[in-house]
Amino acid sequence: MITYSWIIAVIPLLAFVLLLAFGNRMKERAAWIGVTALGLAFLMALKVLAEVLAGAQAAASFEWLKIGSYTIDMGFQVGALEASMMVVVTAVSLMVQLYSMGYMHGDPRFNRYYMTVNLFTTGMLGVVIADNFLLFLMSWEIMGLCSYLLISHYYEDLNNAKAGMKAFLTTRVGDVGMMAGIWLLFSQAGSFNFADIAVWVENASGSENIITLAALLLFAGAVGKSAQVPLHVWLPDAMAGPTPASALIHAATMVAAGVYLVAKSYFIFQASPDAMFVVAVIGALTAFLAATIATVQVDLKKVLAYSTVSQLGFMMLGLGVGGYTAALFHLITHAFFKALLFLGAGSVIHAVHTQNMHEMGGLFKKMKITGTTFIIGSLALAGIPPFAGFYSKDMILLEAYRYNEVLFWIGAAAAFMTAYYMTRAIILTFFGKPRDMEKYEHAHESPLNMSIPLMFLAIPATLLGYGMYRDYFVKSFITLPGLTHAYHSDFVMNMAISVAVAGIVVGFIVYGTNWVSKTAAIRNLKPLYVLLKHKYYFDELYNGVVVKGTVGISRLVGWFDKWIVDGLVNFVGWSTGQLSRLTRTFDTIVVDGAVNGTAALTMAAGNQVRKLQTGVVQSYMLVLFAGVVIGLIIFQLIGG
Amino acid sequence: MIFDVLIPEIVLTVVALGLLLAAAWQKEGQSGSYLGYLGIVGLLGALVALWPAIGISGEVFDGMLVADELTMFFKALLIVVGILVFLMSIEFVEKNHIPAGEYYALLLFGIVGGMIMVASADLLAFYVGLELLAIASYALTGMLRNDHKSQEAVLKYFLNGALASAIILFGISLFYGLTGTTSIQGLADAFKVGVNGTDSLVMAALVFLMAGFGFKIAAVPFHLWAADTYEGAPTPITAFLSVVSKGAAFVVMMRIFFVGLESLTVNWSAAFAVLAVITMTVGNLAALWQKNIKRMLAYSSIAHAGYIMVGFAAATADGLTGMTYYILAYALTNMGLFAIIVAMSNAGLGEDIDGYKGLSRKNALYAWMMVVFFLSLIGIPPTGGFLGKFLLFKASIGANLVWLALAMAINSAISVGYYYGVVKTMFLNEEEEEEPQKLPTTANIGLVVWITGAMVLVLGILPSFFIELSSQVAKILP
Amino acid sequence: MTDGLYILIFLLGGMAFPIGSILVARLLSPSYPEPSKVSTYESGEVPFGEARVQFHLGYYAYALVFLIFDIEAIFLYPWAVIYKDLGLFGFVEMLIFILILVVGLVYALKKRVLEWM
Repeated sequence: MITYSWIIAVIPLLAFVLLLAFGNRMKERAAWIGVTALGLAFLMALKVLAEVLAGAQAAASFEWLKIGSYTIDMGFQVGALEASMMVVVTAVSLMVQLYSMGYMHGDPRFNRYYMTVNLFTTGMLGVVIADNFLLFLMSWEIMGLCSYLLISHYYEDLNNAKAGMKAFLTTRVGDVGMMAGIWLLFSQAGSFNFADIAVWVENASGSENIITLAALLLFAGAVGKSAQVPLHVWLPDAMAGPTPASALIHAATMVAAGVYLVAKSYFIFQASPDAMFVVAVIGALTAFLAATIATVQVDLKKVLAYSTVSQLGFMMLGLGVGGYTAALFHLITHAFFKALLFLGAGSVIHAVHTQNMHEMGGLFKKMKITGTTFIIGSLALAGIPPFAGFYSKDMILLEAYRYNEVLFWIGAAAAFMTAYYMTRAIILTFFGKPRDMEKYEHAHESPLNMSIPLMFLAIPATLLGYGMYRDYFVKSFITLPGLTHAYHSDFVMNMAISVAVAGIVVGFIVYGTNWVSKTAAIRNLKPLYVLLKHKYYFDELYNGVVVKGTVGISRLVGWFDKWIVDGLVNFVGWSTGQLSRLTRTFDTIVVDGAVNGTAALTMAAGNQVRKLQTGVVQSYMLVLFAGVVIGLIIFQLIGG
Repeated sequence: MIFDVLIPEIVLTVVALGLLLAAAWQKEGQSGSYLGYLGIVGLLGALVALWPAIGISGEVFDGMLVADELTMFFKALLIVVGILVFLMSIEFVEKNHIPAGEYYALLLFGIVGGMIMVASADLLAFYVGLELLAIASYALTGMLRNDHKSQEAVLKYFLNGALASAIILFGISLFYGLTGTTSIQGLADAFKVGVNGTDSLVMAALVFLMAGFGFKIAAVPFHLWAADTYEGAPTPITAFLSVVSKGAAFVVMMRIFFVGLESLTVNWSAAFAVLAVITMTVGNLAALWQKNIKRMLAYSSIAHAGYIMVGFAAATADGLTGMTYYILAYALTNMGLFAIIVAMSNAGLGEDIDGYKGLSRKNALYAWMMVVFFLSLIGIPPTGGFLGKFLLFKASIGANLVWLALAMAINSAISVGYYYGVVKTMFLNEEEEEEPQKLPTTANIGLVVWITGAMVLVLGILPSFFIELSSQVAKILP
Repeated sequence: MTDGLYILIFLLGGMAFPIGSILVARLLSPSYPEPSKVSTYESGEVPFGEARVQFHLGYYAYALVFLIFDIEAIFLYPWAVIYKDLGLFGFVEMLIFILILVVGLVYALKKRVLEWM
């Protein structure tokens, strides 16, 4: 079986083709094609995993093309990591497709949705099993395309379409770097194969700088795809897509592909401590910033989106500090419990037709299954033992502690925030008095095809962590030769548990009781307005400078001013709430501004170029002739 | 020997003359579609006639024309592209009351001109082919007699083209004056013995030749005619210009620069590197603003000329292979794209990008295929365009021109902007009406779209065979 | 070098002839202008209208056909001179050449290029 693992990746592709051919005629029965295909793929993936557990490994490739003296192979490889990932991807995709039968019921583009999800699954599985950067990149791009299509699924609203564009363009920024990195490696190692490049890295003494550069360029791609700071702006907007698609793509699998990329090319990062440090810092920063932003979101899906960004930051932190096993362990557990949370959120949204948590409340009475599973997912995310997230997050914190204490404390702070905002979300959504009676009256538990996936996903969210952690099973399974693991530390474990519990307690105090006065919140609104005005000011300044063409310097100045000067003032002055708002402002002004500014500059340059085109034939000929003359002069002067 | 190699050209010329005669008897208002199908039969015949010539290499007409791998590859491509242009023309010609016999005959003459160009081993033979192709193109551009845009297009094209032809001819005469030969191989020999390659007159000749070619391939700053001409010309002719005229010029350049002017590689490769960057950047930036899809593609094709020139900048066998593959992928992609634009124009939806609103619901095949073609033009896998860029990347990195590869990557990122605009319009900005009027796929255009779409994907997924063919082309190198 | 010199002398002589004759005429001829003398000479007809008029497009096609056959005739001369050396091959080749031009002529005829409106 394991030698035919590639078939698993082809199955969703077949489903895609079948849906393309017959899907429209089958109406909503088309979903069964996808569910059947993924069910089959899931079973096969389990079988492959069983064989890998028994010690099997497989790799195969064929000569794809021959260019001169180079041959480029296409192939796959399946080891412990790949087999586990295949199970995760097929399982989540299966659950999502099952769930979508209910959630997407009545959607005018039902078939298109299923087509895209299946094509996406192929892309993700391609990323998982690729044994070379080329196949990896191709599958990566397929995922990007599907992600874009799904984000703008409800394109009747122009904002959704814009969100799709933003996601596509932002991730491409990273992709350019990643492609450059792949090229760099190819030019040095003469191959795209992971194995060949690993051999080159091992023997490449004296080219540490090139290795660092290559690692950082690859990391740029990972930053884009995995929504790390500063390219994280697209993921919250990506919530515009259908919720089950968010669960699959923007929580469990695709966004983790960036982490997976770093893991797959870990041998490059290991050879460059500098690159590792960058990964760790970016990861810790992302984990912390995104968690603070999540504490003030009112949109249930946005809370989860920022939480995803934050957890991806945790994984990056894990990789950066040398915790290869820990990060991938977290990737796997996170895929399950975050998919569970998203599907639960989808169930709630399905019931009340709003994503605004202030219009919910008290829903637990009406939605017992959704509520219970959501709480299980939250406990896993918050890192409460014995749920899955505790073990993996603890491992990351342990590795971080060994590497650098500052990073550990940043991570612990983020973990505290995580527990806090999930408590807040649960209380606002499921408990307290219903704030919108009309919506509350209409709320109801979701149909079985939606609640069954929730129950299924609750199982790994509960048990997987302990199951994998027991006997340090995961440490001997998903690992690399020469890796050392941090050993158990009571301090770290106690710290992890206490920050999680503290987060829950604080969250409960603020939102579950009346102990905290609400006037404090109103007082806090004032600086928010000031900040909003500030934002306007910086946008104007920014655009004005862009037009003058000194975009680079001004961006730096604006960033410095906004982030360092204001940031310090605000940081000292205000509490977590303000800080998170600030980071969000940073987000919209500097990062969005940079993206928009670059676009504006490009467009402006295009406009100038266009003006050359006068439409007068004489001037065309004059330019042509001037070209000749200039060419003559240059060639005469420098001889070409 | 002569006839083995020249049968395709002879077949096409005879068919073209036949079409011209048929046109003479053509009555006003009578359907001319059968003439188009006759032309396709002729082209298929030429394709078959190409078969016996596979593997033959040698010279024809006392070294005027040559038969080798390069020639065979591009003759076949020219004929295939010809068939595609014919297929997409038939309905267009009917709808716009274009004189059918003349139109098809001129197209065939143009293709024969292109075939002579790619087979020429002598600057004079090349010039004859060039003029045959160019004059046919001028006439074809002005075929929409009552459309002032078409008339504007032909005037600009003709005047600029005449100037460019003169410049090329002047360059040729300088080379003849310096070396005493017009044979491309003769040039190479002359530079090896005796003729001083750094002579200022040699440089002048080089500049004239490059400027003339720069016009033909629409390289900046010789590109200004392109946008107006591409926009005004009948759409199938725009496709023809962007692929046949440009492609044939590139092929001749390969032979002239790589073989004839091999001793001057240092000079021209640096110049091409600079031209390539300027051309791709200007083309992409200007394309960002276009509202008319033909104009946008005109600038996009300028940008692509820039990418292809990277192969010259690299000046290696890899560069040659890369350019060949790129031209192949680009030709098929553009053909498919323009076929859809022709279909849209036939349906009366115009050429403005706004007219593509909601195309995905009107005709899903066209919309999705356009996405495939755009992906290919941007260079995203799994399409032929990606592999073309890949090979050129590889060539430029192999020639230590990393900055050029970087410029290419940045440019292809910029190009996402305007291609994406069209995709967004097709898929997202749907009109509010419940069920938009369907746009049926017509047989001829559907055929073109399916063939090119399949080929673009084959070139991206199973490219070995074509890469092998492309690398055979490098055999022309000394 | 001598070949080039010949051509140069030929070129200069050719240019000197028209310039010289105009110059000599201007120097030698008496000049007594009067209105009818300075007016444009038009085969004895009284000129009317501007000299810059649009010509009928028919002229262009007509001239083109004329030019093509003019060139064909010139091309036939060298062919005729070495006709015997070329033999049957040369005959057939020229036949094809003329045939192609005849197709053009037939086309022009059918399109009534040679008829005057």
